Amino acid sequence: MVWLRIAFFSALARKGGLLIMVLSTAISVAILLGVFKIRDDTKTSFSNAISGVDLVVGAKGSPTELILYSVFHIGRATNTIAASYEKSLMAIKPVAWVVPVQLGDSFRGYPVVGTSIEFFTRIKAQGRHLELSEGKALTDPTLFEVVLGANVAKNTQLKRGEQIAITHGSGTGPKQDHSNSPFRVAGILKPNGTPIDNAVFISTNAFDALHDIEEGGIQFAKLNPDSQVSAFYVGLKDRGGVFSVRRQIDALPNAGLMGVMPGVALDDLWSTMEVAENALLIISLGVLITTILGITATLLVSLENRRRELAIFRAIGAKPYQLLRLVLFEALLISLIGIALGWLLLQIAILLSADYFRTSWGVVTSIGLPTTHDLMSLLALVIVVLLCACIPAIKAYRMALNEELNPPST
Amino acid sequence: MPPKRGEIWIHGERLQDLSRSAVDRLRGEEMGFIFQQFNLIPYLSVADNILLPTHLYPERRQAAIAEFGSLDLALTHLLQRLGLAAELLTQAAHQLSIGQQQRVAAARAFIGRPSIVIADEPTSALDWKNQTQLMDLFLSLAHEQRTALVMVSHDERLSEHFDERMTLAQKVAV
Amino acid sequence: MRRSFLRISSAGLLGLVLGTHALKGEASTYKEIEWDDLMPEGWRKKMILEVTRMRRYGSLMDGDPKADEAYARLKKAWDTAPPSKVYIGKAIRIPGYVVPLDAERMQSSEFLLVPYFGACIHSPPPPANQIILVKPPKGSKVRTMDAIWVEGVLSEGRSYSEIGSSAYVLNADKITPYR
Repeated sequence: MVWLRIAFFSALARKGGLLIMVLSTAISVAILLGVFKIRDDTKTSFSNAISGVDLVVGAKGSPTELILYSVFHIGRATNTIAASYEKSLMAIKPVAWVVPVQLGDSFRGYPVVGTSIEFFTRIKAQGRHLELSEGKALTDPTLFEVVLGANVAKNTQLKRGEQIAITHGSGTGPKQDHSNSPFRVAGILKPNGTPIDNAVFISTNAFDALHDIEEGGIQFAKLNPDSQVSAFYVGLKDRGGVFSVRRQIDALPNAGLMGVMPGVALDDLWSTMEVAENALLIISLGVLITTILGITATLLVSLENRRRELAIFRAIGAKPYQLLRLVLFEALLISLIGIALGWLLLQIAILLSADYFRTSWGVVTSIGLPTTHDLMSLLALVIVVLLCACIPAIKAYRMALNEELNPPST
Repeated sequence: MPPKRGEIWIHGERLQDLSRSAVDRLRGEEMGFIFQQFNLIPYLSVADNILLPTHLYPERRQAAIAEFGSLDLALTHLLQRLGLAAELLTQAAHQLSIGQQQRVAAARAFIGRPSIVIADEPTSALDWKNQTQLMDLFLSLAHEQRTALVMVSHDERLSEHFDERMTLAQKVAV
Repeated sequence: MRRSFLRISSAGLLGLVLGTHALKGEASTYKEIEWDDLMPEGWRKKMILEVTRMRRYGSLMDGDPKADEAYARLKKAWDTAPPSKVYIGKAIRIPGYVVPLDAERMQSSEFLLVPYFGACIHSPPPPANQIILVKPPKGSKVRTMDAIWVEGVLSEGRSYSEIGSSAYVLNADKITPYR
């Protein structure tokens, strides 16, 4: 339609000021869509932590920190406790099973978890038992077998039987010589939507032996009597007895242990997250409002500079409502280009920061098309912009109606 | 703009009696305007500028097509008559010289056979040689299309070309 | 003749009144009970005695082994607090606070109901006959320390006596927020 073309070229002629408005829109949209994405991705990454675990036992301290570290593998490392406490825990009557969890090392940015064979039979994800897509789970604690979470396998392209080098500390240094590493991929887990997808599992013996491997040439991992763990996952025979078990753990002499109920600690975490999410949302809405006000102001001011242009249109017989529509078209143009640019900005930001979010925050995020929710919000945004643009649009209409636009003269 | 005194009649109708939208339609369908300067939309191409009346009012469009077969042919004809090169069609209006712009303004005013073209000091911004040239073009176009040309000027010499003339400060019934 | 007629009609009227009362009773089939109702009377009296005895230790210093010992004994007894048989198998309605057992953000499949706020965080846990393991209807979601009403049939918790667990289990038909 000819008026759309006119609006486009008219805007192009004044692109200096309008470009700033487009940029402003782009940034606001990137922030808004970014906040939506953070909300969705953290929900996905943190909503399903671990099933079948009735208590997480660790050194006395902050319960939330213990859950974050031992279940999500993020946050500050908690104090370790002696692995020998496993026996004391099993002695408590309502306890059915105890699985040790060792943390502290990583493999190519993914956390390495030292645990027992029972992990793979006891621990569930979203109510379902863990399943393997390839190979088998850990079978022998003295072997240097490795089980990979689904995402780890996908991103590293490792297959069953391959040899990998897990070294003490963060494995992101220069490429090590693999030929001496005794670690072999024994199995790969199916994706299950929990932090297990992003972890690498080895036996506790192997975890303890990580220091010795550097000296080279060991085939079997011995049991270390002074082994330390970050936490124990505990399952009960009757879940209703959780209070009693907690009390008994607390009462263990000189142990300094605490038992945390994962559901309770996570509810705490989720409430905090919701507060943060809402705060982010309010801020991004504020940014958006500022932008919309800026667009309205720019359009209003531009009308003064366009008197001659509008007068010419009037002289050729353009009707007042057509001038009103011209202003609205321009507002529409700015919003649409701004939105497209903003979405692009967000994708670039995601590409650059995805790894950081995964390793530091345990949140898995990726680029992708806008969600239905995104599109509805953007539609609402465009409508609001057009509504606000009615102010300058109606002014143009009135200018035409009141014959304020007189034919250009010297 | 309503007249301060007296009345304006066009095609047997009193302007004040018409509704605003009827006046707009009248302006668009039956009339063309040439001002002293700043006639054109600077950021639109020459072609777009000339064709604007046809975009806004289908009657003008039909008339132009009826006369020349297509809008392109109408454009070509007008450019030729006004001595403008065809390459100018795609250039943005602000890139042309004043003389060229006034010719384009004339093309826009005359396209689609309006019954009246009103010109307000259309040549005063130009030098004498261009003035006479342009006047001849306006008049020949008006004759060709049987369009009434109403011109306002301070230059008495130009009044020779016209059938009727009126000096302001005089009350004349036309 | 008239007297018997009067007697019959008044009996009928009485029956009508009683009848409507009975209907009302039918409408709310869940008997609303309190947490005290879940403690067997004998056990409750014993506990009151114990707690009173504990108060005597209040004058002693914190950390006194005698006080600690008594406290520990009391807490141990609470683990195996027996259920009251009065409401087993009945449809009851009781308010309480939620202690979640699952770690899923979007829905809850089991949780514990306790009588007071902060039962797992600040204050010591309640005795076993003051804990109900609730199985809510599908699709429910409750958060830690939500105050709710539960309605359902009460049953006895299995193996509570040997291992110290919740004395009661409730299959909840309905959960509503407590106002």
